[in-house]
Amino acid sequence: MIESQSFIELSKAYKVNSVPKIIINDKTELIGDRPIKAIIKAIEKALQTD
Amino acid sequence: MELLNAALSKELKEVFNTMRDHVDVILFTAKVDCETCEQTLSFMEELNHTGEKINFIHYDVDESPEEVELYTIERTPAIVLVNPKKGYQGIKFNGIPAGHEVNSFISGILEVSGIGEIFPKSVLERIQNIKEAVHIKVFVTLG
Repeated sequence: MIESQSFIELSKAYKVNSVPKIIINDKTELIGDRPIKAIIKAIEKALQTD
Repeated sequence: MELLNAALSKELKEVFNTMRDHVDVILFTAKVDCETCEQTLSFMEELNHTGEKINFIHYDVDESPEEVELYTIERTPAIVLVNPKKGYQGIKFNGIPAGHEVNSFISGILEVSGIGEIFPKSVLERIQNIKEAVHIKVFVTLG
């Protein structure tokens, strides 16, 4: 968990324009409050492309 | 500064009474370049008085290189939640968990204490099939 306004440089680096924003393995992005299945799907996808 | 009023403090006490295992709430602060460190420290001290199963531990990053390395602390304030029976499972908060982030912080403590949310079987199976470590950053705001 990263509080965006306390770490502005990091938020800029990950192009955080709205919250919540989830970054998986520093590359796959999910924006908004997403159901657990969407998060797992994104994790599976991130691992496939490693 | 009081972050927990009497009503919230009472409510939290009841929530923390449901904790199963003890949880180490480990806070890392720095003396310089940390706008919210002091506020986070007083917040954690208040929380410490609220839950009997919460063990509050405080490190200064400059004085505790071993702990900084152990929990990969890259910025402050940082709080890691550790179940001493299970070791560090990777839950870390960067920044003060105030505002509506209090909710996710409390959920994190309960999860680490062993009474977390139970997912449906199909979801659990997919999670169990993930065999490698996954790094997840969740950017939030307090508002």
